[in-house]
Amino acid sequence: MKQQENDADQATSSSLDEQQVPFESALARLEEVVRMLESGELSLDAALSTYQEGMQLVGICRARLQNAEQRVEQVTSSKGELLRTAFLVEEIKG
Amino acid sequence: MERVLSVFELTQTVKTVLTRTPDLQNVSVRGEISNFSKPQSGHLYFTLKDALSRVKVVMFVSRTRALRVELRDGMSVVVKGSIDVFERSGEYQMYADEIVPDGVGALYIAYEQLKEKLQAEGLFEASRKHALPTFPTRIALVTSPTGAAVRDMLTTLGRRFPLTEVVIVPVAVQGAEASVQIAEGIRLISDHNLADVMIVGRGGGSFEELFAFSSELVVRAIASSRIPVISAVGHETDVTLADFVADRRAPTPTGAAELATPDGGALLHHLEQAQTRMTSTVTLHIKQAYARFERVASRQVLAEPLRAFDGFHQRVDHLERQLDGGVKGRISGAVRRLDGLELRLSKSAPFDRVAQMRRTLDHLTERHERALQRFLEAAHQRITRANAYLELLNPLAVLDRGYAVVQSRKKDEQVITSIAQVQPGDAVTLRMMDGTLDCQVWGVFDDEATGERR
Repeated sequence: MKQQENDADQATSSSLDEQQVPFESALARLEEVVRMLESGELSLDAALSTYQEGMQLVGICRARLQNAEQRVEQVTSSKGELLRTAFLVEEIKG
Repeated sequence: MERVLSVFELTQTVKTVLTRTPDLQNVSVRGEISNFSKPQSGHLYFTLKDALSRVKVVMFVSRTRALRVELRDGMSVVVKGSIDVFERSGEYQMYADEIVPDGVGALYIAYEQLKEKLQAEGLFEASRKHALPTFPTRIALVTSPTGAAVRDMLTTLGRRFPLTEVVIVPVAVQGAEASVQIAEGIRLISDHNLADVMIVGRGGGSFEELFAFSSELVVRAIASSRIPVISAVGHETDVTLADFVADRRAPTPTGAAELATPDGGALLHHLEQAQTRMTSTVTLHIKQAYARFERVASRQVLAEPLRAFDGFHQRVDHLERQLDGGVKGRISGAVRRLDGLELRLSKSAPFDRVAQMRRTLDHLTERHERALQRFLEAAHQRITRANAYLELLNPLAVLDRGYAVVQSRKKDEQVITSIAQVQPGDAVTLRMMDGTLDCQVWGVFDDEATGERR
């Protein structure tokens, strides 16, 4: 039970990051972080904090890839008005 | 007696007659395809038939490039080509140069004319094409909301990169309304910026069924879209004008979904690799830092930091002793002299003079003690100053001021004090206040030779 609460806390704190950082930017930053680390130009302190950031980015990217659920909507136009409706994937999956 | 021919001679004779008949060398025949086959060689074989007769048709692979439709059994076509005899079987057959679906001749002409016109306008130029986004946030599908195409695309998009939202703009993909609806759908997405890439397409069908995607309305809508367009019409072999004008052409709707999205599985693998690379880099970094620390910590100046001062301390002790000895010697000499004087006085002078002399003596003794006191204080001050000076000589303090110690890397880390100790190309270590630099000597310049010596 306690574990679940912790998980939930982490989820809310990291979901902020996840929603604010587009996947592409997170991945680009991760690539930069790896490059910086591999350049060997960082001091040990900087390397450690950069590594921490990198691992966080890996976590964010992975979570977003693995937890993403496809969102599908249908858009039609009626007299210049956009009409958005849910597109039921299940119906055509059978 | 009539001449008897061999079978081969007969076949040759028939072949000569057929190939010398102009009407049979450039002929168009209408019929329905049956027994269609396309072996490994790429040549096409089928039987062209109508209600009353049939003829074998061959199309060599070199000619098939011009085909704009996928041939299937049951398809009505017009075959243009020549008649010849296949000697091995003695059968005459048709060698096709062109095959077009029957009944769409008018559509074909329209297609060709429109293609020429749009090409002349530069609509198919590579320079007009937009790049597709690497990580699309939203993908729009302009297609029929029912059928295999939309299902295939959703499945592929969801499998590869479910982060991408999908917007379906339902349109009719064949029939009278199709081209208008498709063009409007494209404009709707572009005008309202509904996605960052769109797929315009449908599943397979006949030339007529796919024709909406070759209509001027659709082609112009794609050309003027501000959002990149992937065309995905029918099968690999179906080519529409949408394919020419689109930013990318996909062979099938599934192929379009793959073109539009990054491969999520590959991305996960990429993340895995990034994680491994970062961890091994940082681990190495820590190991190196620790090794460096070990190396520095084991150096004598840190292991026994006071050792460097031992010599100086000895000198200070010695000086102190000398000071003490000198002063004390002089005082005791003075005291001895005073004692002598006192003795002489006591022997030769009246007591009151002795008493007076004694007072004088006490006074002198007191002055001597004060002088000694001042001398010792001055001496202590000098020692304190000497200590401060020693502090300046502390090798660590020197490094702190920005100097570096040059050490050889081959001769037991010997400290380099002269250019004579190194050769160009030698590796040296510069020991700085907070670490070391690995360096290589590029040149050795003698100050005397260059006249720079002070």
